[in-house]
Amino acid sequence: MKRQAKKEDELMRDLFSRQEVVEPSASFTERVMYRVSVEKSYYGEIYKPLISRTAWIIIAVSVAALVALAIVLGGEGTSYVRFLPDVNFNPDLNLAWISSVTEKIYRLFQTTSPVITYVIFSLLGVCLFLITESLLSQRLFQKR
Amino acid sequence: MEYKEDGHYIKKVLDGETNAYAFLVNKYKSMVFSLALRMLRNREDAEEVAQDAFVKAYQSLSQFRGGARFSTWLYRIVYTTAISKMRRSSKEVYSINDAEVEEKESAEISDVYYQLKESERKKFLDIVLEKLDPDENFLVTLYYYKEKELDEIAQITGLTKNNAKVKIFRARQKMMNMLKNYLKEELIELL
Repeated sequence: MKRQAKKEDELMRDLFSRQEVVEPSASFTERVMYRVSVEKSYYGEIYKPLISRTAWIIIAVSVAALVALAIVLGGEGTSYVRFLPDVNFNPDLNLAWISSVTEKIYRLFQTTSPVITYVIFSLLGVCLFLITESLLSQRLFQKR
Repeated sequence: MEYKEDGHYIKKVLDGETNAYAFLVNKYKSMVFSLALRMLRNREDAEEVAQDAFVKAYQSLSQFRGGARFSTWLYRIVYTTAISKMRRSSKEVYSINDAEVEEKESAEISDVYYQLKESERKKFLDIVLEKLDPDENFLVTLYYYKEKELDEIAQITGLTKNNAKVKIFRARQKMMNMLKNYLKEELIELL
């Protein structure tokens, strides 16, 4: 029985190997794409958020890192220093290693004048925002 | 033209590059049209269903999770679209004997079949495809022509694997009976 089924299957495969590829009309793709473009203009884009979930996570982490950096890099005169002991929930926590790392980063951009240092940091910040904006604009234009 | 993976074009379409969809249409149009034609037996209807299937696939592309192959997902859309079309326009259905062919008889049919000329085998295939039920036609095309696995055929048609297997078996029996009758007629003509 199994042998018979196998033989019949072989015969069918041989038979179907003679099946010719049937092509639709020459303008098939154009017609489908025309209908797709009509759908697109009528119903709009296939919805997908401009800023993806991953991008939001990166933005959140970056903002948190910037805030942390500002706290650690801040000088003696920075207002938060006055409140820091009050918000320190764990007084035994040793944050010295963070200070040493951030100190090194700070020294990379430190100049003789604190004004120049602030300008450098401001420029870096502006550059970061410009890059982010250009990336987002690029995605927006691709979608249109 | 060099094609990349389907996922590459799907991502482009989802990112707003609608023109990338033309690559997928070009890649699958022959098979989609063939399957639609197998079920509807009319070029005009088949072309309409094939176009509808591609437009539906575009509309639901964001729902395509990539769990199955794009072709499997697309053929399922073709199948359901063709079924809907057929319900609207009832077609003539042929009654074909699906009684099991005995082993000895099956062996004889096979022997004579392999002696047929290429053109005669092609002629017989056209007769078979014209007379089989539309869904059987669809199933055997996927199984014997596209050499799809039963699991994939079950996914495309929404049947269980066993049900698909039974339907293919019955279609094969019908085809063997048709072949038996065809060979008898050929023999009579020769005499």
